Amino acid sequence: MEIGIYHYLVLSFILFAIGMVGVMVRRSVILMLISIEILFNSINLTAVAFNRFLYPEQVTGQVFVIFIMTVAAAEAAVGLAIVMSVYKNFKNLEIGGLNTLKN
Amino acid sequence: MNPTYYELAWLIPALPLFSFIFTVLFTQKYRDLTAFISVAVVVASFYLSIRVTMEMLAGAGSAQMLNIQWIPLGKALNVSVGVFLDPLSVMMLIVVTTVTMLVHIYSLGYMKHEDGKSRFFSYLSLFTFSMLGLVLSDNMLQMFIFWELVGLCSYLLIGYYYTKKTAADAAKKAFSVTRAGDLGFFMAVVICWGYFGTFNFAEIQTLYGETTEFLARIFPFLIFFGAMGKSGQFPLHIWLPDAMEGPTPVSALIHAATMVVAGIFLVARAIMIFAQTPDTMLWVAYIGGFTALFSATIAVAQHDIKRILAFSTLSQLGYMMLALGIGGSIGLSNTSNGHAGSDLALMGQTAGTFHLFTHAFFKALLFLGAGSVIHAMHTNNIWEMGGLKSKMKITVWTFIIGTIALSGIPPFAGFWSKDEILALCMEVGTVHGYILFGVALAGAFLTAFYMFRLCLVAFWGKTPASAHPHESEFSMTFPLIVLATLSVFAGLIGNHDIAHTLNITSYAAFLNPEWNHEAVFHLSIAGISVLVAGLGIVSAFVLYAKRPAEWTSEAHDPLRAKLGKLYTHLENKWYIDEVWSWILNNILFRIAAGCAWFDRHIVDGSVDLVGFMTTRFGLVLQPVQSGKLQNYILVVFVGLLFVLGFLYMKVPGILAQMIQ
Amino acid sequence: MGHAVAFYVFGILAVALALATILHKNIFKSATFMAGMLFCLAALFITLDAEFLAVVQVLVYIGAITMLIVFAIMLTTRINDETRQKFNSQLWISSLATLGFLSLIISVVLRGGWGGVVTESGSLPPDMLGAIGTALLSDFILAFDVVSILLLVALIGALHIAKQDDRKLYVQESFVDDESSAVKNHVKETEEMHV
Repeated sequence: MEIGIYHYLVLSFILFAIGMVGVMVRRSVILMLISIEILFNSINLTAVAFNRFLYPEQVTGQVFVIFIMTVAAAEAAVGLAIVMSVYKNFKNLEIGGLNTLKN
Repeated sequence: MNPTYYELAWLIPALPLFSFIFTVLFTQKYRDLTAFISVAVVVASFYLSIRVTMEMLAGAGSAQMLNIQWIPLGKALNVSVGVFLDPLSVMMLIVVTTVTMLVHIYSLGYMKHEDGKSRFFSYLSLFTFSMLGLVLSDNMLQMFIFWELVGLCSYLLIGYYYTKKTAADAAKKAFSVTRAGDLGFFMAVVICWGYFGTFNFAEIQTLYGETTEFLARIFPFLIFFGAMGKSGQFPLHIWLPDAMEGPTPVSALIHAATMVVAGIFLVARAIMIFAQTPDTMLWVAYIGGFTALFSATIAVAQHDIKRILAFSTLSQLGYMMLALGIGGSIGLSNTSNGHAGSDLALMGQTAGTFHLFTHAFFKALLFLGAGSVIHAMHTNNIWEMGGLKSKMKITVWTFIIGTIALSGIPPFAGFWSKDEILALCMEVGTVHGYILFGVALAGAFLTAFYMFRLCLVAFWGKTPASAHPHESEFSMTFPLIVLATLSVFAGLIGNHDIAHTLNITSYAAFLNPEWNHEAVFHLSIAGISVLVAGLGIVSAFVLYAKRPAEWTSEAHDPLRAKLGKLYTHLENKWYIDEVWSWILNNILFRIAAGCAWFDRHIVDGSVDLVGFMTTRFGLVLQPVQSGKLQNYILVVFVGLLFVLGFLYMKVPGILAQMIQ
Repeated sequence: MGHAVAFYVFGILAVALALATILHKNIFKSATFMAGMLFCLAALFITLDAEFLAVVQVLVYIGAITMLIVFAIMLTTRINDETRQKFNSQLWISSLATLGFLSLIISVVLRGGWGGVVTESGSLPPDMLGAIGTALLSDFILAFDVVSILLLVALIGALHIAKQDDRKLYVQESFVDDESSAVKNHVKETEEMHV
């Protein structure tokens, strides 16, 4: 059977769902960040797949992926800096405990 | 002639306003400077008024000098502020600025040692501004605003000695009672916009003739209700005697010469609207007549010099209302006794406002004189005075000139104006006219009697040993002399023939230049009125001329024995205050208590219920804000799922279309 | 055929590694699994004829971001601490919602109707790398610049955030002694920072 766009899309959705669950259920802040990276990657896969199968003569999808990667890198840098900062202040990296803004 | 001073007319009220703002903000600590600024400004206003009058006499005519769109909301509400010059407002300008200026000068001496002198003069400036703004108003709403402002000034100045309980109470009383009347006026203003769509007097006048709506028809009655409150007509007169708690210059200015005649001015201004409803006019006339007689009877048995004058003021205001009312009681289109209704209405306006004009001078004179006496004797009770005529010559003799003017002895001012009212009653020629003529005559008798009683008791006889009266200083006697001169001569312009002989414009010709007026002077009526006044004077002389030294308190009044029980009734002002307080306590306060209960338990209760429900609901919803980030993500995600699921179920194919 | 084999091998591997990433107790191992998953995605990019992206994926994600995460883990957490609870209380409802979402979106996409558009690899641009470079510097030049600045800002911001709390602690300590001197210290600190 020929591998088509649907295979890639379904794979990408499964990865997205896994990342989503990770963001929502893991207690550790770092693991939330890791899950977000999974989400980014599932999106990247979608973009490249659309590019490849629908408009193969263009490169727009790939350019988008490059931008997403850049933003992901920036996000990771800032996010991890915040993690360091939070750790120094709270000595704790469990997201459930970080609710001081509520009050 | 180029009407340059007309263009400066807006400065007449603006200058005192400037003075008020400036003195309140900057010179409260410098008492003399404040006084100086106030006096200087009011003198400037007086000068401008004189120049404006001269231009009007030279034939400049009525003019709308300033018209600023204030709230231009088209059909919804259109309020303008303007300066309107016509003979009536110019006449009021003269009265107000003259009396105000003299009272300012007088206050320099009277308030010399007061700590609150700055405050006093600032209030006076504010009052001057308000009163001048009132008389120059070109529309109802502007007039209402200034109407309330003068009420406020009255409140502030009556309560000038606010540490004194009686003064504070009197201020509150004056404010609340006039407020009851103002409610009527305010309703009139609202009706005015609602039914006529304009606040302008001239436009209302035309529109009023065409309307048949009930609420629009009672419009003049509501205006008159406002005038009743301000001008102290029965039964809303109770505040005026109590208002005498204020400093005497204030009594002279606000509660004798200017503010209390605002009601008369209002009715005179709207005379052509009033005259279209003869029933209302008859009502006005009878209320005025009753007030004139009723207050005069009370004045007979009072002992406080200022209260006597206050009741006298009420009585004279009643005369003015009577004149306005009886003049319009025929109706515009009817004729009576050979006169057209419109002519009679104009005659009523002339007579009423002319009495206002002369009364302002001699009543201000009487109050200022009384102030001078009080200043010297430190008492208000006439029985504790005596023998002043040799000690305070200027005060006493000017006071007596005022008394004669008020009593209506020719050729003093009061004679001409009062005579005009009496003549008008006869000219109308209806049965109401004859009845009111009788009432007015009785009032004239009582007026002459109580005024001479006051003079004889207070000025003749022996000086009490404890008192050392002396003549007041020049700043106080100067206004007295000026006002006495005016009281003597101001009346002459009222008579057509005399004015013609002196080659000046008569009052009627000034007030309504286009109106071909008829002379209403009748020697017979004048003779009767002088006779009656003379009778009053003679009675007073019979009772009080030989005042023994032992008459030192009101218990010694010889009238007490003559009148018996009636005297007690008079002394207690016919118990009107008690009636009002009964009405207030037993009716109004009970209704108010009911309303308060309703407000506290039903209205507040429902508001509290809303608050309570909100708090409860918040408590229920509080766990939603968990502060847990992942919780929020889940909620957003589930929400998204619901939206998408709904679309997927209900609109098949839409999601597929979206992603294509 | 080779294409299909590659897709299934790397696809299934990627899913397995992603699951392992979010399920494993040990964060360090999670990060390792993620690196593996990223590698699988790079391979999938190659099956999609995006060789350049595959290289960038390996360089940026595995080389940079994963390393950053590993550093953060080592600086903050005790790696072998496996006593703590992995999941919070909303595990099941989240999984259920996600499953629902998955089935919904898959069923939508499968109806999408792109079946006929799948094209052969013959129409790819001959010089893929050149085409990407040209696109970045012509059509997407503004986005390219904005993203560059974003990266710079994120870099400085990350530095600032990570460095900040030393000073904060110092200020909080001085609060205990004397309020005004604390303010002074704070001002001095700020000045020093600017220098």
